Amino acid sequence: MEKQETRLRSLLARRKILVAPGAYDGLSARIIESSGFEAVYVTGYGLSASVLGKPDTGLLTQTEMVSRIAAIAEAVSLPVIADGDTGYGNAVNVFRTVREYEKAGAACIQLEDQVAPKKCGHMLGREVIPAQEMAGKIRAACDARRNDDFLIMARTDARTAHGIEEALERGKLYEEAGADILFIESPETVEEMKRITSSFRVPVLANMVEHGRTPFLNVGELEEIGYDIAIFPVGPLYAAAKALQNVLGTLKRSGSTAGCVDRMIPFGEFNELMDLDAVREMEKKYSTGRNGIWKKEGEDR
Amino acid sequence: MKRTTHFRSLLERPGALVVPGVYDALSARICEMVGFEAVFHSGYGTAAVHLGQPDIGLLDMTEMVSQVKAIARAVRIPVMGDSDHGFGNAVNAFRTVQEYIWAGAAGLFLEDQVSPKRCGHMEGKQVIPKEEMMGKLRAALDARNEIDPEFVVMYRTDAIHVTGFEDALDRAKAAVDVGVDMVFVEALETREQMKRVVAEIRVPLMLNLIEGGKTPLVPVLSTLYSAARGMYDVMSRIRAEGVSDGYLEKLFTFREFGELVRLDEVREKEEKYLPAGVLEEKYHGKKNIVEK
Repeated sequence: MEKQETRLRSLLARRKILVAPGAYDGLSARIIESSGFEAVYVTGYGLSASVLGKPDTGLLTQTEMVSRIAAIAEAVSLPVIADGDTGYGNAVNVFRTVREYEKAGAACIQLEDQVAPKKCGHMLGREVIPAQEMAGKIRAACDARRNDDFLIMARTDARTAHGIEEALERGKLYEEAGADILFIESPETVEEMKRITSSFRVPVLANMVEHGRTPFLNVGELEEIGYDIAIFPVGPLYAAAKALQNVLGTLKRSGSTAGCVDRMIPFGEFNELMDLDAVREMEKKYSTGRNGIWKKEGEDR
Repeated sequence: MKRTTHFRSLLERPGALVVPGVYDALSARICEMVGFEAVFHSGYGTAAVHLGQPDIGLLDMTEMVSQVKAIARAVRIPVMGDSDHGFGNAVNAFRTVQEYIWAGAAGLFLEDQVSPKRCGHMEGKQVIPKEEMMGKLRAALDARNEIDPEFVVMYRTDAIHVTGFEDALDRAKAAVDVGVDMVFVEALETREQMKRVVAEIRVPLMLNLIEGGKTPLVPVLSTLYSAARGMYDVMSRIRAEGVSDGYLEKLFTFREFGELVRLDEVREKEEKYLPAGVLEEKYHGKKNIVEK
């Protein structure tokens, strides 16, 4: 099998849309993999929530992002498309950021043209840096990578404040600067989405945010419009948050979680999800001696 | 006494407090051993030892905090943190102050440079508008008031080389009005400028690498440059002449270095917490980890 870090390029070469749901930790990434998806998108929005319990307004540091990306890349064998925000500074910082993301095991970094500190692409109050400055950051990113199969994705946030024409122009400039994938953030009509997919030679990405600024389409519809990648960055996060709210509300109200047991993953199934068997195999292979202890307890976990 | 309380009492003493710049736990420990009463964490030094790169804003907040924590853990004296521009806007500055307090610093400075920043003595600096900077300082003060009101917040202005001395002084005065505990006017050019700063700013001042002045005086890179010089000289000699006895007087001995990193305290803790049988097996009656 092709390496985790290089497989993204061949997945994109197929004439088929690639769907990458958003992961924010090892567990969500494992569930994305076990559900049969072929790539994972690491969401900064989700990490802000998961690491800090804070909104996505540029509070996370590069080190915090990289450490979580490394954990996710280790947890799955799928290629990891990683949110790199603004690249944490100017072109010189981008150079270092790309190296760190590559080392962490990502297959692609997404860099956006927002002014730092950034904001989620569906929030208001976003500003963009001059297009030429961003083109320089993309060139730095391309020069920095050690592996040619590590992909550079350029995202523009210009649509909301400056309109679709400016966003498309920026896309073209970033494509010329060497971007492998383009992400025109938050188009507001299907018409705009069609213009995006017919304007570039490189693959383009659709960002499907529930309750966002963009028409919420399904994978088939996006493929028909001509998108090459679809990310659903926050769906898994919102679903998990809602589930936690429900179970904790029940516990608080009724003094027990008994009422929600049917909505939980059973113990055995969770162990399967975490691939506990693989650990047991290793314990046998490397003689850690733990098997004996477990047998004594009469449990086969 | 809490280290923040202690640091404030040091600042209240008349005369200059000399605070050497340090870049890691070992350099901080050496400064403490030779008798300095506080140390200053240098971002310039941290960039050099952590990345082997210049001080141009490549380190992020997590990396800086982790070094501050390592330094604060290694010594008992107060540690003043270099927090650059607070790693973003006022909202980021708020978090930065929280993290520096939790890391064990007794204070920090926030500077008015545009991100990514650079060392105050390099060309190419830019500063953010005064209003924006005052907002960052207000955020910093609110953050520390929530956790530890004695934590020292210092404003550093890099404005002299960008917008001129008068603007720098004006910014410094505005920062005092906002409530900062200390001011650091970076890269003063003349004795006249120094005198005006001392005369017109009524909180303690920090001067960087300059003789004279009020509190405190920071020889910020002496540790880093002396360590680098020492390593460079000895390694060049070993490369040229091979291993010989000739350079040994330039080195700490194994035993001296053990004292530096407090090996004795490890032995004391072992004595206190390990079963006697284990101690006997390890040491066969010997009293020290390294023979004296």
